[in-house]
Amino acid sequence: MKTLALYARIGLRNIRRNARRSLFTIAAISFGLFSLIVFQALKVGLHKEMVSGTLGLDAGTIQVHAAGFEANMALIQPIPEMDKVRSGLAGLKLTDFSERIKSPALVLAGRKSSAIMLAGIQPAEEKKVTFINRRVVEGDYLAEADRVLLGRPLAESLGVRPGDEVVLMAQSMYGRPVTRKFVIGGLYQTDLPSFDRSHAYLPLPAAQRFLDAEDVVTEIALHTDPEQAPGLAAGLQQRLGPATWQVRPWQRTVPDLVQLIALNDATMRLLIVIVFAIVAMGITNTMTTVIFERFREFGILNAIGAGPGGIVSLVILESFFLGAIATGLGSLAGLAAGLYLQHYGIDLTRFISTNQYFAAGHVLRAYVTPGDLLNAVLITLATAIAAGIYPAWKAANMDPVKALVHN
Amino acid sequence: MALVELRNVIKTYLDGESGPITALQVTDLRINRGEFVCLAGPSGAGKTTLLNIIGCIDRPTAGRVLIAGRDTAKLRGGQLAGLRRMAFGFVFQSFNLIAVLSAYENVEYVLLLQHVPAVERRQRVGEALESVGLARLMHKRPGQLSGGQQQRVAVARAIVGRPLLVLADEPTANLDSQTGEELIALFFALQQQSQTTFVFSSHDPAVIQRARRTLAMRDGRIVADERLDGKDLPSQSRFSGQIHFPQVGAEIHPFVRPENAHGQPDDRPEVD
Repeated sequence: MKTLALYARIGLRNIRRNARRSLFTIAAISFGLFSLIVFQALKVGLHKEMVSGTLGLDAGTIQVHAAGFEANMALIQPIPEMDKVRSGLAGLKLTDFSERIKSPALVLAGRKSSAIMLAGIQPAEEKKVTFINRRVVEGDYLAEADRVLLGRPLAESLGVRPGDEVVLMAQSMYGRPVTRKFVIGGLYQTDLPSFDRSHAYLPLPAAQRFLDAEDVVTEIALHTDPEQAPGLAAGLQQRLGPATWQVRPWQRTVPDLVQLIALNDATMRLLIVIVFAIVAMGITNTMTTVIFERFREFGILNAIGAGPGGIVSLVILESFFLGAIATGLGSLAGLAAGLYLQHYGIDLTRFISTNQYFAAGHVLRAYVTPGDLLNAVLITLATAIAAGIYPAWKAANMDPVKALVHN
Repeated sequence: MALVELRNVIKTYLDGESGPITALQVTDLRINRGEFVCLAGPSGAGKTTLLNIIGCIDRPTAGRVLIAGRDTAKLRGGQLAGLRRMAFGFVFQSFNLIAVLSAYENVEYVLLLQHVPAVERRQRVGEALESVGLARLMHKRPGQLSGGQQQRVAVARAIVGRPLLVLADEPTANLDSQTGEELIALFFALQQQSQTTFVFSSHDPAVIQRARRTLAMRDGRIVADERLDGKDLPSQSRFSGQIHFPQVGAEIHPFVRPENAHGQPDDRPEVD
């Protein structure tokens, strides 16, 4: 231990002795770590934004349907034994959910018409699952029993506004065409015009009456912690049984989001490999230069009996100290930048096109987690140590005769 | 038994153009404990090669090198490092101190490698530096010391581990003549007190004449082996009579311990 302490002293003093070179190396490693922390925090923030935006738009984190629902989504397929489903939800203490009835429909205003997905929702419960209520830009949010809520782009294309009448046309639960006039109660607008143009809302009882589907619910959308959704969905599915009901977490209802996140993760990993390969090359280069400059010193150490193990320890310790100092600086800078971006975010309005993943907003916020920070620090330290191995091996295996005559 | 014994040692180097070059060819050389030996000869005579081979820094191409009767050819890298650590002290022409360590730390380093306990370490480092007249400068780094002072730190480092043999390659070459003479006087005084064996090389006649035994070298061969018993150092050496170096060489490393308690050669595994 005492010898290691001496090597540590030698390492630290050599770092200080070659201050400029050490500074460049430390700056390079720090920048690598800083980038890693910030990119990772932005990536986590991006994923959170994408998940909350996508799921908060309509899907929720878990959906319950009748079994076989996917076979023909155009038909109204009632969820059977709703009391049992509600009791199953209560049994798992899942309280944030909204019951819905959904059906394809046509909205007509004068000579203009548009195909939409009509959703009958429970206005109060829906607030716990989606953010549509927060995006009402004109009129009100399903305050009256028979008023329809349209997306503003749809209303604009139909040439109507709150207070005007539109006609909804659909197929009833029994296959009969049904048509009825509804007064527009309000308009909503998300950041996703394609969604706004194709979705309209009625209070659940009004939609049930319109579709001749009294007390029918075709979909229950839940809000839970997205990370826990698969486990909760499996638990609910087990409790209800698979034959009659279908319970799916968002990873199954929105698989493209999962794939996009996986793609982002893979890209991030590649970025980490590239950044840290550069960092490792920087450290290796520095340490190899150090070995060359101190060729004679290592020869002396060898001659007076330090042995290969001692020389390896000395070089790796020096490399580790470079990494440790850089880790301290880089993690502080990364943490500060990450927290700043977590608080203020980056407004991406000018840089991204509107898509379903950013329906909730265009401000990207970083999200620093202790686990990610620890990982980044460990990766940096491991890189620093690994980068010292080759120079250490080189130093330990140098010919002492050549080293002693080296100038 | 001789402390150092070389039998039919040859060292050749490969040269791309002219083929193998014989740098050293020593048929029979014995150096006993307590000798004060100078390897004399011009540059290229093979002095450094011989010192490196005796000090187990280099290996011979052919022949055998025995330290206290034990063949060093059987030792691996780590074992050789252990032998160097415990049995030899080295002084080099260019001082070769570790620049970032103080004089004290440079000397202490050898004892750390030997795992000497802290209290004893402090005492021995202090004594070693005092014996070379540098106790007051022990916290200076090499860059803050003159060439002569640095070389004396190197001497303290060489003797602090209580080696059996101190090897010094042209130790006065980078010193002025007076400092060089003082250094050799210091060697001699240490040798007189501790009976540690000193082998040093030089091409300086003023230094060579201080030796008790001179091995004259030329073209890789020992061409003369001259013993000058009774010769003493001049009285003006400032180190004469001032040395209080404790028992250099008193503790013998197991590798070079020639016999065990029963008078048999000690065959225990070598160190590292």
